[in-house]
Amino acid sequence: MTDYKKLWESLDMDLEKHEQLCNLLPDFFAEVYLSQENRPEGMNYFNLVVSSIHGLRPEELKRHRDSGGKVVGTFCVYVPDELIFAAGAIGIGLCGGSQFWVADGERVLPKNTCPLIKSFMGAKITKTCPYFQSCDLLVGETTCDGKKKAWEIMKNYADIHVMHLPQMKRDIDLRAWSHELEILKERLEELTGNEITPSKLKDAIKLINEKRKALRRLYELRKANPVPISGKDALLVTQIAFYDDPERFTSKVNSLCDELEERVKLGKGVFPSGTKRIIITGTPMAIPNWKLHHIVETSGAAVVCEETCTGTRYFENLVDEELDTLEAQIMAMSERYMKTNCACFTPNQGRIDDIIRLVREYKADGVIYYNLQFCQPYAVEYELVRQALQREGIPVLFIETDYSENDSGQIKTRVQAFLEMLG
Amino acid sequence: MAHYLGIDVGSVSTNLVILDEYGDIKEAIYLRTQGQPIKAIQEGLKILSKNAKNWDIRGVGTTGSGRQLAAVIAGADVVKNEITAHAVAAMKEIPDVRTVIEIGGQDSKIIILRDGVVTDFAMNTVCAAGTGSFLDQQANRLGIPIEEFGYYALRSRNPVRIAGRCAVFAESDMIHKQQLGYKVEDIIRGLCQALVRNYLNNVGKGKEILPRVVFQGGVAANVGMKAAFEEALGMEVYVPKYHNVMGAIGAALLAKEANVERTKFRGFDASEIEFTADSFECKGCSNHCEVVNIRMEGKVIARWGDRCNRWKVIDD
Repeated sequence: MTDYKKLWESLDMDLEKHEQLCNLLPDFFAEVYLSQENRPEGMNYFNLVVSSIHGLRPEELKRHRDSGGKVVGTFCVYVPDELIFAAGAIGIGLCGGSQFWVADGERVLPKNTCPLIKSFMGAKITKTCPYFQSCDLLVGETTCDGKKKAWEIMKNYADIHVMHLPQMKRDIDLRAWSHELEILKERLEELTGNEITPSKLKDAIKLINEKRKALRRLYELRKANPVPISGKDALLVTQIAFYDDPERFTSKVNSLCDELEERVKLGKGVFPSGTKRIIITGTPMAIPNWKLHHIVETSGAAVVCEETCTGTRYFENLVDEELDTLEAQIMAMSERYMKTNCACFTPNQGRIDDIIRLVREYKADGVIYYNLQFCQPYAVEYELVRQALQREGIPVLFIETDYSENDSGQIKTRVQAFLEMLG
Repeated sequence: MAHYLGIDVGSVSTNLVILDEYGDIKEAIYLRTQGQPIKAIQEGLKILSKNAKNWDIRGVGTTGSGRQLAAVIAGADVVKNEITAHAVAAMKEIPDVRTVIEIGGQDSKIIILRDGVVTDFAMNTVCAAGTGSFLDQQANRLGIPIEEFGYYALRSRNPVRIAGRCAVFAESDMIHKQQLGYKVEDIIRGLCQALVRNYLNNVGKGKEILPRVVFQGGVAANVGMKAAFEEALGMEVYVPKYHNVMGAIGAALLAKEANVERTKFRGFDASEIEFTADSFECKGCSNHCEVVNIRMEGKVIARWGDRCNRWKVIDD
């Protein structure tokens, strides 16, 4: 990793502190990932990306910036990558999945803020994330109160554009969101000096749709019984989707899927037959948050799908590729993004329907509702999800946790008991 | 006759039971763990060894937060989580049980059963308000032996409302009520009601509590808590005779069910073997894991605490 020292210096990073962070990841990754059996060959690419997480891709970003390109950091699956790429910029989904940054985030945020917000704030203010340091602009959004107010503090450290996400799904909200997309478009044109033309946007829509299609294909293969890939591996792929080069990422996911298709044909699974199939629903799991998947998959079950922002919400639904005017394209994007069902919307029956549909499609034995501590929208929404699942006779376990390892033993006991309950 | 040993190592108590092949309880031992689980397990085995010639142990089950440790020391055939162990034991006692309330030293749980199958459960999270340790502490503070605590509550006619959401607040509220001059039995009954309210709103949240209700765990010995549950639920709450060792009973039943050909039990002499635990900080990476060695006569037989399995000992 030391080869990248110059790069990190050029990004004004805190090298000493960053070194501590870099030392954590390899062993953690080895423990959680490399210890798995029967991993697909196609995961090698993703292992490589993680093993050089703060080097390979940031170097590409630097090359892009050195030749005059811009990098735009985002935090939410509602922010459209299409516009960013159409402006000739690179979009990076910033994470905030590491406990390492939480304490630093707490320096400026209340302790009872969700770990995701504390973590990304810590990452920025300690200058220890090369992705954050590579961004020419951050794009925030008004999903939850915690994030909405955090942007105001973030402004002290970086340029940030905040999009006003509606929280209902009426026609008026659809139009309001398309208007927000137009404002973002102008901001991006101003940042990059590039005009977003219908043909550029059309290409970008195709580019991002291809990425979504590859992920859809991957998840489709997870419906097979026995499942050909572990939940941890699939989660890693989705996490990497947020910051990797979209074109290369798409091709690597598709080759992974080719391999998995062979496995499915041969009836070859990654776990022994009869392994319980679990769907995880709830709050996002930003890299390197593999905590719950690791607990579930070392307790004798398989995670077969995530109804989360680092799961189906990221890639379900495509944008219409056949439109030729900006107005129509932006409206189509607004429609696509507003189909995503996040707990910050009211009402949010669509999410409940999604969960029940996914349980059927993936032939899941049970659902684990994952709630990051202090995430109020998802915590409140649990009650209605629980009631609906109970009516359908689908077992559900609620797990509220943060990024620390303190409660792993307790969670493991609960997960084990839940799996035994499934019979 | 075949016998089965169950061991439940919790944060506060370590319990051992011996069942015969009909599932009847032949011995039940309740010991304080006192932060020394190895010593407590060995102490228990030693007590049981006095009648060793009566026992033909064919299977051993362990449960509780110290289940791995107990499994290594005694030699276990089945290692199960405490939800399953408690549910199995409650069903043995009351076959048509539909709700199990279990309050132990530092945790509390609810288990919902329908037709003899666990259909739902919940445990307290990091907060230990309302568990045995807290009641112990309050009894101690009021200078009342914990065994008599519940009877004080039963004598109360006008319970005082105590804030039960958090042990810290409950304690300051109790002190405040004492200073206002309320009678100690009214405060104690109020405390029992507060803890029951807290339990039902947190651990029992969203759960359909149907009879029959079995109340077990160390706190079930507290008649004040039993009465407060009955009052709040409007139904009879049954406390089994061996309520404080139900986890161990469940573990023994699970060992019996497993029906292993040859038990891994080390024998009651395990109480004489020198087991020690020591730890070191691994310098292998910056995680600096605190790795625990469990040694039998100096030889490492198990290790845990390392995140990467680098130190894993493969035991035969």
